[in-house]
Amino acid sequence: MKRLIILLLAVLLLAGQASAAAMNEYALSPFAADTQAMLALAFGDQAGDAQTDDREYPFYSLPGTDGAPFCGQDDTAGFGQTRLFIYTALTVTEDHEPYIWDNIEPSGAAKCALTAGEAQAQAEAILRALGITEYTLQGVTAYGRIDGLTSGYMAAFGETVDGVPVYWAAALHYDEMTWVPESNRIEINLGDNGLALLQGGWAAFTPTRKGISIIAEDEAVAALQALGEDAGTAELCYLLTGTQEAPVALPAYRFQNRFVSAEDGAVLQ
Amino acid sequence: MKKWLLLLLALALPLTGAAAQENTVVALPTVAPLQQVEASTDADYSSAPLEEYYNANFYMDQEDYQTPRMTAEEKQRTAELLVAYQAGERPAENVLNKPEDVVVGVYTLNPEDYEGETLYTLLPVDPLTDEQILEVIDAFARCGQTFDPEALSYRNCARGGGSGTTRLHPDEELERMDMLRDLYIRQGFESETPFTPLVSDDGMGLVTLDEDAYCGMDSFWFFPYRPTTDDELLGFVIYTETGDPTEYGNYAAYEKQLRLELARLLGAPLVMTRDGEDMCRMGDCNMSYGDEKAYYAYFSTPDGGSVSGYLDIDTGKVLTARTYKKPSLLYSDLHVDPNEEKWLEIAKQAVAEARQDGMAITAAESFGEVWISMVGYGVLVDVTMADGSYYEVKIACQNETVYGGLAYCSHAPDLEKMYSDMVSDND
Repeated sequence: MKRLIILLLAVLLLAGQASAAAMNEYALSPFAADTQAMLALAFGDQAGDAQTDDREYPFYSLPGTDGAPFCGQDDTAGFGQTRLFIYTALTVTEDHEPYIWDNIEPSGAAKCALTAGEAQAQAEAILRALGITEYTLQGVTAYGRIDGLTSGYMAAFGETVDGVPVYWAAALHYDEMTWVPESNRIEINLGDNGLALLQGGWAAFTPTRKGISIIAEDEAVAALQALGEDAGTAELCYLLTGTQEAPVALPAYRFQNRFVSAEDGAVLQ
Repeated sequence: MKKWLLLLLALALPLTGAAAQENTVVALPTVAPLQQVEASTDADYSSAPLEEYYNANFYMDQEDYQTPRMTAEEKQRTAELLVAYQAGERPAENVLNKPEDVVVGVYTLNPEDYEGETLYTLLPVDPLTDEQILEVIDAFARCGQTFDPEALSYRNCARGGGSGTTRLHPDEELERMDMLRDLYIRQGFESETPFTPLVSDDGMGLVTLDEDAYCGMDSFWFFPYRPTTDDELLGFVIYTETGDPTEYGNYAAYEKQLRLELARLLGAPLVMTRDGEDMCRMGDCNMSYGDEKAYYAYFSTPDGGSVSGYLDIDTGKVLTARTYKKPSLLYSDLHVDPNEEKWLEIAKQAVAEARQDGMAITAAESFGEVWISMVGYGVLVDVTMADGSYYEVKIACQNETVYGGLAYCSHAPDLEKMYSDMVSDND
């Protein structure tokens, strides 16, 4: 029995070290989605006809068309983000309005054959096709409550690194008049006829410091409580901070909108 | 940025210069003396703040049609048209002191009221035609002056809706206007010298504009580059007041009923300062309503919050109302699943705490994630009551508490009516 306990403790210790070793510091850079997959999603069997224009970033449309379908990867805003967008032809023929509150279906079920679960599965397949593998589901919203507008679902995914979510620091949003990073989040609108719209910001992460030992959650909670927070738990995550030119990801624990360093419990936000 | 500042400027002008009306008022018995408010010595009534406004908000080194000047091309044509004018060419219209529907206008000023300026020019947002330039030249000539486009400045010219007034209004003046409006509406005070729209007679004036020529602005106010007297301001307030004078005598009763309803529906405190009031047709204020005649008032609370509401004067019931207090939250990048049950519970609890009559809650529904300016993201929940009324509750994701306050509506939104244009456009 004693040996078993010792073995269990050793396993737990090793597991803890393995978890700690998984945390790094990262530099952010624009994410490059799979272009061929993006073109196929935007233009279907006309993908081969898509052409770029004179923009600073890859933007594709069909010759002789004005408006959708089009797609692109805008990496010009800084903060290590790529703004991905795919507007399919459905945005012209169907009226997807998931951003009007009154158009949200509170029941969570849209008036279409597609189910929320199917929409999520299709959206995840789209992410994987684009080369996006580290994400977490943030929600599936049903829309189409207003008669006459298209029904469908919007599946939203947040970016994760090492299996934990990322959050932008509040300090980078002190003034809306300056350029600020958007959330690392992709929203995908789908209906019975397939993908209507995809848009969102995503980043690539390159380790700049590896194998950082992290404090346990209860230590982080104590650090947060010392700051006056009524914290009972803390979420392991990465806090994205730095500058527009040199954004970084720091291992952190979060309670509500407070962050402490996962390395030493020092206050980050 | 420019649009925001223009909007702020417009909001700073509490009376939007709507159509003038006769100075009729229901005389109410009162023994209260007219309250005198001393002009603050710190307030700047000169043209200087307007110069700062233009420098801060307009590209003064670039040509546009909202800064108080002519473009290089217009100046060039002006030189040619001055020659033509001297040779006898005349415009079809005389725009000197033109009072209404102004596209181009030139106004005579009392130099002692306007830092020595003698003429004020209003120009449209569009490139000037030869005829319009001739109108300006002609108006100046009628005053014995030769028009010089190089002399146009923020002190003697406004263009294209860049400004709706000759000078900015210090807070002190805006506060006096609010107080004088109250004295007029609630106690029937009248100005000793009624306001006249012509600026040349007393230094204050108002002309109505062709809205297309001034980016939607419907009037231009002439305020002298000096402190206004209470009587001058009172005259202006009465002239620009758009309320129904036959209702003024009922305002006190409406306010009392509104306060009682705000306390019942939203838990509003009795101690609130009324900051403004008006009457309206409810459908003009909220697409979900129709011809209900409503009394509207907004209040500030001792804790720094605000409460407002629209009272149906025929039923004595509140149609819509809201409380608001801005929390001091930092931006948060947190996104959550808006369909989790906990959001509904938070919203229901907030409504139950605010509601003072114990009315039952019959439903709570999430309307997804919403953006909260400067703060990040939240969840919008509708809480429906036993009588069919409902509350909109916005919950900040970052601290899982109600953000801002509660919004009350007496009935569910009529989606078909609200979005009829959108739906029919897409049919």
